[in-house]
Amino acid sequence: MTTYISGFGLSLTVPRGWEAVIYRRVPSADEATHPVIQAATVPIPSQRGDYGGGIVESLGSNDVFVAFLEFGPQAAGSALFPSVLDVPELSPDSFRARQLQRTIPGQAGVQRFFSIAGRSFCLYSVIGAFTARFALCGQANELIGSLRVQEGQ
Amino acid sequence: MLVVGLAVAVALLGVLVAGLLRGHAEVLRALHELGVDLDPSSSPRRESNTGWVGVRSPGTARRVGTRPTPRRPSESDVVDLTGSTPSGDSVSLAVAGVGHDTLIAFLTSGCATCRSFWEAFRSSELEVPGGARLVVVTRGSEAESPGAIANLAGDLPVVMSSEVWEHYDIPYAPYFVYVSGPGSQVVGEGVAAGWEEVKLLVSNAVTDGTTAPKKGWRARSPADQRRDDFVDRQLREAGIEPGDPRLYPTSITDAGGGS
Repeated sequence: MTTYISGFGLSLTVPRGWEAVIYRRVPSADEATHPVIQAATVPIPSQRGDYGGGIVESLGSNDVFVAFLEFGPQAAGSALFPSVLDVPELSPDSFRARQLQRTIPGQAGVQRFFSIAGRSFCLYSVIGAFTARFALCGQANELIGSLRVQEGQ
Repeated sequence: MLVVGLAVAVALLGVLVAGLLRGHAEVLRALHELGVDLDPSSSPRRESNTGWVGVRSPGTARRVGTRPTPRRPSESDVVDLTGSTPSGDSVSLAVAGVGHDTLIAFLTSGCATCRSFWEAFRSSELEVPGGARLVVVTRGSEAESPGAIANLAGDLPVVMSSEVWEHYDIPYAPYFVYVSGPGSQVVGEGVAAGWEEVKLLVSNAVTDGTTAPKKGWRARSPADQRRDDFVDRQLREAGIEPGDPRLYPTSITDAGGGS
């Protein structure tokens, strides 16, 4: 049974066997924080980093991690965050071991920056095994395809 | 005169004793209807893989005869834990179709017995038998204070959701449900007075091998899984959510097959 979660103008259908969270860190003084979606085929612990620190270490060879990280409205439409109509799908060959935030043997990652509905995002995904990238990329795309973004304020 | 007075007193005492016995019998009958077996000769061992186990006090585990969860059609009717965290984040934690088991603790912020569990769960040395993941589920923010839950929970994974509470048909708190992730089914559930009793119950379930997938069970193929997810989406778009009574017709007429 799939489940559906939403928050901060973002929504996601969570496939069976996945778990996901939509959160926004409490800002400290002089800091602005923005919404983050994390989804994984492994348990998401309470203590973790926005880019999956604390999660990616537990990925097995059949596991996937996906994060959507929103940036400030000033970034929307800039050169780094081109405007798109739909959240971009990933291709198996876009995953690279060198694109990991933290290199873990066997794993591969990919990062995409884009603006949608006037909001800017980074899409970051890690797969447990580069050798299984075709199957795992398909799983990631199933989740990515369900992301919906409401218009920015 | 004295004899008459004594006779009246004895008669009154008789009526009083009869009333007490009747009240006691009614309590026993009510407990029996709820599935609680207080017969001292009953074995404390679990009767089946999916049987209930209740624990009244340390070392006195008792078998509970029937499942007091009539609205949950079977032990395989498990749902992921979807709701909000005490800090207001949206969350969905997977318990079915995954490689790990989950021990779900249904707690409240108010009940005295729950307090000892909140304290035990905050311990960094907490060990859950079978390596299961411990998740606390409380009622939603309409029934619990997120701030109070946050203070009790610390870094514990907590999902606030009255829907999950209702789906698992939780009769009272504290209450524990052990879900086998690979088997996608409940393999044990019940009440306990303390964490040591819960550990004992979970250990029994793990030792019995009940967390392993059923014989002949194999993972769904990706194509089957996509088909399942498609059907789930169609049902949801039609307004049919998990637990909807229309999914469990009791007659051919209910199912729309009658004419």
